[in-house]
Amino acid sequence: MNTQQLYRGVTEIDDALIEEALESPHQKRRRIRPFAMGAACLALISGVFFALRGGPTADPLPSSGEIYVMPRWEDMPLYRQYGQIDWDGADYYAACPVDAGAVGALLGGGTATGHDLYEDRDYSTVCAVYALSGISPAAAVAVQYEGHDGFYTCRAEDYSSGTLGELIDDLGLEQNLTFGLVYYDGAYQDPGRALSYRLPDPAAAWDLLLGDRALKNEGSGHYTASLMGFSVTVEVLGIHNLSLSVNGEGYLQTNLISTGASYHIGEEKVRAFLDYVFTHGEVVEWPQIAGGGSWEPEPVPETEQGASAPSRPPAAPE
Amino acid sequence: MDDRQIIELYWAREESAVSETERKYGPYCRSVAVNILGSAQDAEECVSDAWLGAWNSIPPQRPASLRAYLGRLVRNAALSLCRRSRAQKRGGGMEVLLSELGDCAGSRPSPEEEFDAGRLGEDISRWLRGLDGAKRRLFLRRYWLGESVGELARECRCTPNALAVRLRRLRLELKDFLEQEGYAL
Repeated sequence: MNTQQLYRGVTEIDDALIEEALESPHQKRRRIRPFAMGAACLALISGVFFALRGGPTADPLPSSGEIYVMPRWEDMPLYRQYGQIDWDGADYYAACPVDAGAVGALLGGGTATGHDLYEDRDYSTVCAVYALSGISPAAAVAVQYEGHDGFYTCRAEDYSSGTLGELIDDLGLEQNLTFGLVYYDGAYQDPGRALSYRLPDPAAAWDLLLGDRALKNEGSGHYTASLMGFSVTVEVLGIHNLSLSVNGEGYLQTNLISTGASYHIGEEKVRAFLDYVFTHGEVVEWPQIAGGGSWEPEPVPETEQGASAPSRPPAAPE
Repeated sequence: MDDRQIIELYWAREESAVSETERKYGPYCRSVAVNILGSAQDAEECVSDAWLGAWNSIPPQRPASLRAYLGRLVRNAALSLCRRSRAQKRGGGMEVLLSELGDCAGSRPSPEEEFDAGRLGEDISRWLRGLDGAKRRLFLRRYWLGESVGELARECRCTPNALAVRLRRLRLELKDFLEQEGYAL
C-alpha cells in the first residue's frame, strides 16, 4: 500500500468520527460564517455550474450575480406544493406537468402532501392517479389534483428494475429516451481526447449499451466513477440530463431511477462504446470554468502509478 | 435548510441543490480544500469538482452525513487535482500530507483490484476508536481536515515541534496497527 492509497483509506473513515472532529470546540470557533443573507435569499452560484454541466447547447441559467429567492408556498406551482404522492402503498414525487395526451387509464385515488418551509406547516389534498401511456405504474404515474384540471408526472421513489429489459419497458425508453452529449470522464488521463462529443446517430449506440435486455440489475453496488456516458432526457418523466454511462468494471450504470442501477455489459462492450464515440463523435469544446482553470486534459505524471483517484460515492447507500 | 431538504433537492434534480450546498457547506469545503492543496485557486477547482461529484452521485446516494460526504468528495477531488500535477507545481499541502503518511505506508502500491479503500477506512476507524478523544481528534484534524501543524500547535498550546512529535507517534501507532491487520507496507 502506498501513501496515496493510505490517503484514500483515510478519506473513507467513518462519518461519525468525522462529525466528532468537526464538532470539536476548536473547530466550532473556526467555522467560517457563510455570507449573511436573509433566510429565503440565495446567490444562484450554481447558475454557471449548470450552464456548463449541461454542455454548450443548454439554455443558460441566470448568471451568478443574480439572487435566487426560494419561492413562498403561495408562489409555487401546484405540483411543487403537493409534491409527495402516496398511492397503493408506494411513494411518488411529482416531477413535472404532463400533457393529457400521455395520460392513460384511471388507476385509483391517492393522497398528495407538501410542506411550507417558511411556515413550517404541512398540507394535504387528494388526487386521482392515472397510468402514463407506455410506462409502468411501478415506475411512474400521472396525477390530477382535486379541483384542478392539469396532469402531472409523478415518479416512484423506490422503483427498481429486475433486468435491463424491464427498465427499458417500464420507463418506455424505446419511445421516450433522448440522447444528449457524450461525456468522457477519462479525458484527464487520456491525452488527446476531448471531454465531450456529439454523436450524429446516437441511436446507433443503443445496441452497444442497451441491447442485452436479459442483464440483471445489480443495483448501486457497482455504481462507480463513470468512464464515459450519455447525458439523457426522458421528457414525459421530467428527466433531464441524467446519466447513462459505463464504468471501467464493465458496467452500464444509470441514475435514471432513484435507486440507481447497474448492469454488467462486459468490458468488451465498454471498449466498443468508447471506440465508437472516438471514431464517430464530433468533439464539442467546453468553455473555460470561471476561477478554476481549464478542462484541458493533462498527461498523468510519469511518477504516478495505479488507478485514478476515485471520485466515487460510497459503495452503498448510507 | 437542513441536510434532508438539501438531499431531497438533489433527488428532485432541482438545480438549487448545488446553490444550497454551496451556501451551507461552501466555506467548510473550501477550508478542507485549501488545507490540503495550499492554493485558493486549486481549492476553487477542487470544490467545483466536488459539487459536480455530488450532483452526479445523489441520487442514487442518500448520505447519512452530508457534511462528511462532501468532505470526502473534496478530498477525492484534491487527490485527482494533485495527480494532474497542478497542486504539485504550486507546492501545495498535499505533498506534505502524503509525505507524513509515508511513515505508515510503503512506496509500492497494492494492485488496484485488491485494494479496498472502504475496508481500509473501516480498519482505520476501528483503530481511531481505540484512541483517547484528544489523539483521535488530532489525527483527524491533521490527516482528514488537513489543518496545519502550526495551527494545531497553537490550539494545543504547545510548540509545533512538540506537536510534530505527537503526530509522528500517532503515525507509528497506525503503522503498527496496519501491519498487525495484514496490510503490506
